[in-house]
This record gives sequence, structure tokens and C-alpha cells, in this order.
Amino acid sequence: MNELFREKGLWAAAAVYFAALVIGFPYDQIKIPLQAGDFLKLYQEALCTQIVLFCIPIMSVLPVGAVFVRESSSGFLKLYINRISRTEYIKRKTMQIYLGGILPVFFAGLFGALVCFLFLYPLELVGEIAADEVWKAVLLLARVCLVGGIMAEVSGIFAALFGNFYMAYGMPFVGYYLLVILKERYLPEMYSMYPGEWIAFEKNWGADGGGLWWFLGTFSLAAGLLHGIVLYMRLKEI
Amino acid sequence: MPYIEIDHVTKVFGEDIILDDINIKMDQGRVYGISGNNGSGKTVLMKCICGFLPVTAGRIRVGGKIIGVETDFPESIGVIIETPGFLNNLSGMRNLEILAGLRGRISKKEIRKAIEKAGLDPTLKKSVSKYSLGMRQRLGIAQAIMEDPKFLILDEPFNGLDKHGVSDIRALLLELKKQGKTIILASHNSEDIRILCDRVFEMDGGRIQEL
Repeated sequence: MNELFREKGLWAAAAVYFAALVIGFPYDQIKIPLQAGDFLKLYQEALCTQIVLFCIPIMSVLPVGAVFVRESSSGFLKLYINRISRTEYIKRKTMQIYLGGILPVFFAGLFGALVCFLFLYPLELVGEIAADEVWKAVLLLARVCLVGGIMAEVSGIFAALFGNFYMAYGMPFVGYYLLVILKERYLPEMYSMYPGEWIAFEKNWGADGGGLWWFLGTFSLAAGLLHGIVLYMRLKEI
Repeated sequence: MPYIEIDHVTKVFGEDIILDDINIKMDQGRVYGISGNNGSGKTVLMKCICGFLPVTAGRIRVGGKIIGVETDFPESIGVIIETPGFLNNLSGMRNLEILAGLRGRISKKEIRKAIEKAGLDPTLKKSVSKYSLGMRQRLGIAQAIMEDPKFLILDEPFNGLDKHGVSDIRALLLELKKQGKTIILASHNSEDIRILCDRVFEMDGGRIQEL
């Protein structure tokens, strides 16, 4: 974890996500006085904007998506891996990369929520904030984080497969927008493949919407497993 | 029991036989030299001993454990293979802190001591990208010795070092020899081999013989 927190890319990505929240914020929906809990609704709107969606496949891979390329091409991998084991290296890197995709958006989201609270809550009429609304905001942030984590693992997979920075940084972006284009132009009913829907959660995902969480959880697990397998193959000969 | 047993080891890449039925036994606490021309197989042999490359046939046992079967890499090993690689955007000290943090066995004080023994300044803030080849080599030696390993594999450790650097590192290796470390050292320089090594092997075309 220390290694991850020392990555400048992590903090740069968090800053960019926060900037995206600020730029995409629905300022035109601020009607003073605000109703109780409006700051949470506005915050959720900001998290679902196109600009945040655009940032995800780029910022999630920035911190450590290509760490395997960096370590193997520099020769640092030999000094690193012989101090642990191949399995330990695979576990560490898979987890590090996944968290590298989650943490920037988490920190930006948390800070964004705090800023919304500080600046908008005082403009609200006195009233009770529904616990549901708070929970919805938490789940929305969680979904954005999971999508970020999945994109980061995809980056890790391409980094290990091709040993190339361009593939590591570029393929998650290409894949993400391929899904967007496929859904928007050719398969409009296939909302399950649309990254925007993974975050917005507007369609039917089964009873209580559990289907989306199963989907994101399974996708995360599958990406992590595939990443581990690819790394294992790459590390047979160092 | 020998500390290192290389037992009928062959390594093939495609159709090329790089190591051809190598058999060596090495005892603990001795320094072994491997000499040979470029392409003779020295580095591949060292990588196999380290566990970086699997052997095509045979087995290598280090400290009683078969490499690639009972353990991925030898325990308590310090390695320099090819030019030591570091994270270029970080300082030497920071690179070694990351490596030392993996096992968490040593403190910053011991890292600094190892860097000083290798002839570098541990307070140097500049990133490794700005290091000369000789400085990188010294940093490589520092990372190899910092955790006080029992076993060292050093592939051309004097690469890029000037006369003083060679003399300093030779003195360091002699000190490590006195401490009873097992060292395998590859070098083109016959004088290094003569001064440091208890036994010397020569590799040629994938085969090895003791001199």
C-alpha cells in the first residue's frame, strides 16, 4: 500500500477526477433555497456526468496500470521478485492495480461530497435528510470506484500481455468506448454492456437491483483472475 | 552436503542448447568464479540458479531446496544479473527502501550502511536516471548486500567501475568472503577471478569445466 500511496499518478488522477466533478457539476440546478438533501442529489448528478465517465478509462489506469511494464523493462522486476515469490508478486500487483483504479475516484468522490456539504448544505431549508438518499450516494460512488478498478485490471492485463505502455494505457480506453459505441449505435437494448448504465443504474437489473452488483463483482473477479493468469505466464521466465 | 548442486542441467531456447549437461557442486562459504566469452552461457546459468529461468532438464538445489519445485528463488540471496535495474524516477535510497520493505527485515540504518559500503552517498537525492553506469553498479551491489544474504550471485559486478571502484568492490567482496558468504562471481577479468575465487570454472558453448 505504501508503494501505491507514493505514486504521483494516484494523486494526479484524484485531482483530475475532482476537477471533472467541479466542471460537470449541475450548477443550473442550484435553486436557492435548496430543499433538504438537495446537496446529495446534486453530488450524485455530478458523479454521473459525461465528463466523469470520460475520465474513468484514462484516470483509472494512470497510477499503476502499467507498473509491470515499468518494472520488467527497467530490470527492477528481478530485484523485486526474488525477495518474495512469483505467487506473492502476482497477488500484490493484482491488488495494487485494482486499488490504483479505485482510490483516485474514491478520494475525489469523498472530497467532492465534503465540498458539496460545506458549500450547499448551509443553503438548504431545515429538514431531515433521508437515509436512503445518503445510501444512494454511497452506492453510486462505490459503482464508479468498481468501474475504475475493473478498467485498471484491464490495463494490467494488457501490460502483462504486451509489455507495452501504449497497450496498457490505450486498450482500456478503446474497450470502454467500443462498448459505448456498440450500445449507442448498434445495440440500444443491451444496456448491460454500457459503462454509463453501470454507474447511473437506471434500468432493470433484477430484484432489488442486485444483478448490477453481481455483474460488477463478477467482472472484477474475472478481470483479476485473468490478470493473475497472464502475469503467471509472463513470469515463468524472467 | 553441498550448498549448491547443479545436477545434469540443460537449458534449451528453441533449437539452441545454451546449457549442456552442467554438473557442479558448490560448498557453503566459498567463492566460485565463472569465466567465459560472451554467449558462453554464464548469465543463463546464473539466472537458472537464481530461479529466473526454469531448466529444460536436470535440477538445481540451493540450500537443500530444489529451485522451481520446492522454492521459486533461493532463500537469503543477493543478486546482480545483467545491469541492475531500478525505478529511474526515484532516488537510490528510495529504490532500496522499496526492496527492503518487501521482507521488512532491515531498517533504514542498514540500508544506508549498505549504500555507504558500496561507495555511494545515501543522502543523494537525485533520481537513478541521473546516475552514471558506475553509480548504478554500486547501487546494485548495495541492494545485493543490504539484507546480509548468505548467498550472492554477481554477474560482472565490476562493470562500469573505474580503477578505484574496482578496488573498493574487490575489498568489499574479500570482506564478504571472510564473513563466510557463498559467492558465485562471473567476470571477464582474470585478475578479479584470481584474487577473489577459491575455485574457477570456465564456460564454453554451454559446457563447463573446472580450471
